[in-house]
Amino acid sequence: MKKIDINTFTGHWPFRKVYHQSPDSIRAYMERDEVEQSLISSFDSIFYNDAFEGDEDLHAAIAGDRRFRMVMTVNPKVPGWQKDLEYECEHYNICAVKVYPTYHNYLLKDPDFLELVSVLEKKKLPLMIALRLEDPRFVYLWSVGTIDLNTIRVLVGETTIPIIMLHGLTAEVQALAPILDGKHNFYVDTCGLRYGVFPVETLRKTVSADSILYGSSYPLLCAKAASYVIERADIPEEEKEKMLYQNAERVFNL
Amino acid sequence: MIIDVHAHIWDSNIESDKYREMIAGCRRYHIDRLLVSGLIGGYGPDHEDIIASNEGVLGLCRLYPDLVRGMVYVNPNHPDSVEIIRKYLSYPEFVGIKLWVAALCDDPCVNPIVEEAIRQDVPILLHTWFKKVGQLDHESTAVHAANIAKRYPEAKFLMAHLGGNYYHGIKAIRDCPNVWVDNSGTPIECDAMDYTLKNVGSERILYGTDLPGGMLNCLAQVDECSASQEEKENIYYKNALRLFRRLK
Repeated sequence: MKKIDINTFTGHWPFRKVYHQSPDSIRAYMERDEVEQSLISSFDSIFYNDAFEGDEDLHAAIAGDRRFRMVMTVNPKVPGWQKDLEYECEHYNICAVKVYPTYHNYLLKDPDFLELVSVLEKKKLPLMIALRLEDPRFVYLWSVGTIDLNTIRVLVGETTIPIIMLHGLTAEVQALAPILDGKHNFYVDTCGLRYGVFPVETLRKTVSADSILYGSSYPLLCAKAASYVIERADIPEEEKEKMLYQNAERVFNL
Repeated sequence: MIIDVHAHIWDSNIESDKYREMIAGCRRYHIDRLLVSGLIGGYGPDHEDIIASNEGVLGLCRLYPDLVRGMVYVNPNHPDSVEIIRKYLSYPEFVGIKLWVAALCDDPCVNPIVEEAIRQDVPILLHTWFKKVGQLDHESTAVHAANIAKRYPEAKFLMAHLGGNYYHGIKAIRDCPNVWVDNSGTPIECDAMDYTLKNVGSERILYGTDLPGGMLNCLAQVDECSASQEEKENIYYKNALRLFRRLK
C-alpha cells in the first residue's frame, strides 16, 4: 500500500552515530518500505545556531528529487527567521514548518512562537511540533524538558492552521483524543505509539482515522515500528489508506 | 518460529482483558512461546506478592499451555527465595528465574539464587536499565550484571532491555560469554539492534517485548536490523531454545 512518511530526517545527529542518516540511506529506506514520498527536515538545523544554514545544506542534498518535500526548521527565539521563512517558501518549496520547543527552550505561549503561528496562518502552512526526539531516560549529556499538553490543546483552539504533534506517546495521544476528532485541525504521527498490543486499534475507539498520519522519525527511530502499528492493525483498509498517505496529501497539499 | 522471552503479569486477574489482549497479540503475530513472570507488589514485593505472582503465572501457563511458560519471580531479600525457586521449578511449566528491582543483582543476597540456578541449569532474567532520569535505588545496570556474571561464570544470565541504554549496557557485558541480552522494552531506535549485533553477535541476542507493555515495536526492531535471515532466526528463537533447556 502507498505510504507517505511525514517525519524523516537527514544530517548529523550529534549524540550518537546514526547509521542511516544520509539522503541515500533515506532513499534506500523508502525503496525498501515502499514509501512514495517523505517530508524531510534536518538534524543540523535543530542544533545549529542558525537553523537556515542547516536547511541550505538539506536543500542542496535533496535538490531535484521529487520524492522529498522539505520541512523548514524554525527556532523562533533566534532573530531573523521571518526573512528565512520567506526565502524557503519561495526557493525551497517547503510544505510545513517544524519546531522543537523542548530543545530550543520556550513555551507554546511565548510571544515569539505565537508570532510564528501568526505568520504561518497568513501563509497557510502547517506546523509540526516535536514533543521529543529521544526517550528522556536515554538522553546523553543534557536533559530536555517536556511540553504541557494543555498548551497544545489551547493552541489548537486558537489557530486555523494544521497542527501536527510528533512523537507523542500512546497515553499522550489518548489524553488529546477530544481534539483528534477529525473536526479540529490537529493531527498526530505514529512514531511514539510503542505501548500497548494494538495501539492504533485502541486509539481508534476515541481518535478519528482522519487525525493519524504515518510518521517514523527515521533514521533516529525504527521506521517499521511506526508503519506496523497501522499496517498490522485490524481496521478497515480505507482507514489504513487514510493514515498511510491520504491524510498527508490533504494536510500538506501534496 | 518466534519465542518472546520477556512478558509479565502485574496482577492476579489473569482472565482480564489486558491479558486476553496480550494472548491475542501473540496469536495474531505468530508468537509460539511466551515466557511470563509475575511482578505483583511493586518494587519491594512481600512474601504474599511473590506467591501471588508465581501462582498467577502458573495459572496463565495452564490457561494457554500451547503458548505460555513461566519464570519464577523471587525477592532476593527474602530468606525463602531458594525454597520458592525449588517449588516452582518442580512444575514443568517454569523454565527460568526472574529478578527485578528489589535488590541489585550483584548484591550478596542474590548469591544463593544464582547457585540454585546453576544446580537446576536454568537462566536468570535480570532487569537492567541505566537511566538519565528516574533510576530506582536498587535498579541494576549492566555493570551489576557483569559483576554477578563474572562471580559465577558457570551461571547463565539474560540481561533485559539491552541494558536499557545500550551504549551503557552492551560493552559492559561484551566480554561475559554467560550473559545474553533481550531487546524488550528498549527505546525504538533502529540502530540499537545493529549496535548490539556488532558488539556481541547474533548468538547472544534474544527476542523479547515486555508485554503487555509493547509488542510491534520489538518485532519491528528485529525485522529492520541488518541481521541476515540466519541471524534473525537466532534472535527470534534458536538462542532461546539453546539457553532455556527446559523450553519445549
